Amino acid sequence: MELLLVGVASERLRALLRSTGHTVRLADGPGEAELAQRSGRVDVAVCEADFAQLRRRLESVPVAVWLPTASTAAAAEALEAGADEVVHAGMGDRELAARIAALARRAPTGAPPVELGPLLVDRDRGEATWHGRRLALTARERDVLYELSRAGGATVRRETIYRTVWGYAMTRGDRSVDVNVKRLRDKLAAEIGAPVAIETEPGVGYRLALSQLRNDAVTEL
Amino acid sequence: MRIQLVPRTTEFYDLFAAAGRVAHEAARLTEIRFREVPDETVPHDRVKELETEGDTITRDIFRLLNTQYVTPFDREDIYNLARAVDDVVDFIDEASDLLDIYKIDAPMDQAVAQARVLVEATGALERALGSLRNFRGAEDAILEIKRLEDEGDRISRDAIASLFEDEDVSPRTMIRWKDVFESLERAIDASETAAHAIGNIVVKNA
Repeated sequence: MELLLVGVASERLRALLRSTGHTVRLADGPGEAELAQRSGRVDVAVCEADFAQLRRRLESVPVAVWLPTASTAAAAEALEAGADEVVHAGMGDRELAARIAALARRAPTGAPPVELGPLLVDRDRGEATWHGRRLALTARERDVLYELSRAGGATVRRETIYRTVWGYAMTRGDRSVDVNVKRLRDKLAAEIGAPVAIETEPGVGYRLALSQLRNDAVTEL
Repeated sequence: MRIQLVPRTTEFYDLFAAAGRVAHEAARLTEIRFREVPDETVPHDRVKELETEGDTITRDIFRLLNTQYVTPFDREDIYNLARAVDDVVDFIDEASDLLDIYKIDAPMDQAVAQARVLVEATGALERALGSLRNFRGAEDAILEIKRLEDEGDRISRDAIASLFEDEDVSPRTMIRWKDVFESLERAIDASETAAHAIGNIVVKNA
């Protein structure tokens, strides 16, 4: 499990989590935690302060609050503020490790695969297939296809695609999404042909041409 | 060094006209690069070749200046103009090079708009430099460059502001594009400096 300790001073907690086989990374504060999440997977974050800020920056990551001393009032306050778990120094090693592990189990798993007829896009496994045949896409192209597939036939705004795939806010005028959609289109046309198309909603974004996918899916049945 | 008494003013005109062509062509190729990135049909080497050609022309102008007793304009004006046109090409070369150095992998609308202004400004500069023989059309070209410099300023300000509209813009994006926007702006500003130098010559000699 990939754990991120954010501003946690406890050497005991660090050593314990490492000794139970988890990968532990450290971040000084919420800003650094966000950068850590962008550069690698984070299953659970544990923080000692700045919980509210951390919650905003790591929306999809379960967060446990570490209390250096046991306090029912502080624990209640953290849970009421949205913490997913509270652990404290008064707990024994076994309970501490078990609570963190349970939190990771309760957390939603990563991105679920999307299946549209013969098209399957699995972002977590890093692959996209057509009738089971792996499509030769770059990670960015595959992630863009995942976002479009996840939306069904709905239009996805460029800014949304950029935020999800690149992990940052898109700058006005940035053509990164368009470049990757163009390459994706070219590759899909070469590898699949007519059944899958990416349509442009001018000034807004892109969508998958679902009707063709549905027809194809019916044919498959 | 031997000073020649027989005037070779035609060579000055030809060299400045050639410098204008080089600046315009470098801007034209750079605009294509900014528009087509990451699938540019024009490699940076072609812009670099023009920058080298521009350096050679500048050196030839200085050599001529040092060997001619009679020059068509004040020596200082010729020196300033040659230096200013050389700067334009240097800044264009720098902007084009940043595309490769920063591994930029998609166009940015604002940079493409700046590059287009740069093409127009260097086009007007080419016309102004080509008119040094008789100054026909020089003033119109100079006014055009000043107008384009204003437009370039407006685009540059908007471009840099766009990087700060959201606090969650990637630091890589900010560093890359701020440098590129500033580099293109310097190239446009340098065109105006060259236009000022031509304006001085026109005022004294027309």
